[in-house]
Amino acid sequence: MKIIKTTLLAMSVAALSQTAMAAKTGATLSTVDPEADRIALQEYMKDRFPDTPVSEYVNGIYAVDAASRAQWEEIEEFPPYELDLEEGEELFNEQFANGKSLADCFDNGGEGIRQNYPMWNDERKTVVTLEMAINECRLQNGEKPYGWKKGPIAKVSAYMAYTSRGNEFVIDIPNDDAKAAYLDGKKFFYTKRGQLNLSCADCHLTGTNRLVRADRPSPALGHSTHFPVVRSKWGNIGTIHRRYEGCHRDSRSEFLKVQSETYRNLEYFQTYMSNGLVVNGPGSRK
Amino acid sequence: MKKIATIAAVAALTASSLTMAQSFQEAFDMNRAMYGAGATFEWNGKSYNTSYIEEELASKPANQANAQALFDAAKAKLAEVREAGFAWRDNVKYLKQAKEALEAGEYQKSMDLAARSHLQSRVGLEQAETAKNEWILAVPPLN
Repeated sequence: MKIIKTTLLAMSVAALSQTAMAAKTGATLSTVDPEADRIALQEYMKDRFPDTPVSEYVNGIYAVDAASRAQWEEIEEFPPYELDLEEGEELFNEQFANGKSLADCFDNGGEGIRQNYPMWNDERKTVVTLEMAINECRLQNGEKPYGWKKGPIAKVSAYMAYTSRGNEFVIDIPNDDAKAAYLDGKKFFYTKRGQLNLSCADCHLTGTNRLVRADRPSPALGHSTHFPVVRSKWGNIGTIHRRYEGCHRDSRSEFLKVQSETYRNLEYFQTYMSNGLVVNGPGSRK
Repeated sequence: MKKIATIAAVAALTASSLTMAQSFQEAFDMNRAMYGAGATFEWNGKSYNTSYIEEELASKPANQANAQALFDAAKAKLAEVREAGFAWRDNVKYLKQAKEALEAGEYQKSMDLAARSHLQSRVGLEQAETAKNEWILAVPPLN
């Protein structure tokens, strides 16, 4: 009997040790801690790139790859988004048929507010991105919405980001519903999917600045601070959801619609990770 | 002292047996990698073969009934993996091509394409199952 008891006790110890090795927190609504996640991500990047100050991550891959940075600084002497900014300002100030304009839909006339988006809308129980708010404003005033990925939507968003440059991101997660959306975005970011079995984190956390063919993936920290961007590959300006779609497709997944709830939750998670960093959009990228 | 030593020994044995016991999937994957499709292997005293279920379905006689059945199975599996959010990019393309081949009376071609689609859905569902517990392991811990 004593031997049986001892054996059972030993098996329990063994089982417990197996569980303890796999135990992690932050996967459920009761354990997820956005602020702990944000600090942990910063610590991870500090550990990987000790010479890069956290404030530099607004510059994406150019924060950690000196060779790419030199080329980028030359490009930025004549920023490829300058004309987009001018057009974005004109579109922003354009009067709707009813005499109103985009400025009427936003706090502070729509200037200097980029750092608050995406934001949680508790009445609708959903995340509202800046691009979504722009198009909803147009619809509410009897205008046709813009296309979601490029063109006018990206130009207006770029102008609004430009008026917010230097403002620190202050994404708020006010309650458990908002936290659930954050958790959904976090889960999407870290989940492997598609034929290549890749998560966002595989490229933009562990894969940061490591060659993927000829490219070096940017760090996840600071991802959403500089959008919209003019990408050399696109040859024009586009939104962060356009990039999400491309990344998702590149993992050989069936990609989602831009501005889908999942992508909005992903943007909510990613932008919360950038809290404390400044808005520096629009940007230019490879 | 003797009791502690017994606990440690059994715990070590149990822990090592937990990690060393080969699951069916591990045995299948190992034999599949070594011998390819159509080979046989032993696991827990029984004999199994290394073919995927899709390879067996696609090797049935190429006729309209079998092609239609495999197409229907692949279509249902795609709906399942889409619901889980783990569908692969080219899956729907293979299914469309399978349908075109089926309508053109090219039954073997249709069965091969539907089998490929079915395989992608099945593995996508396995990914979804794995992700449930493993995604959190990729999150950097707060030290």
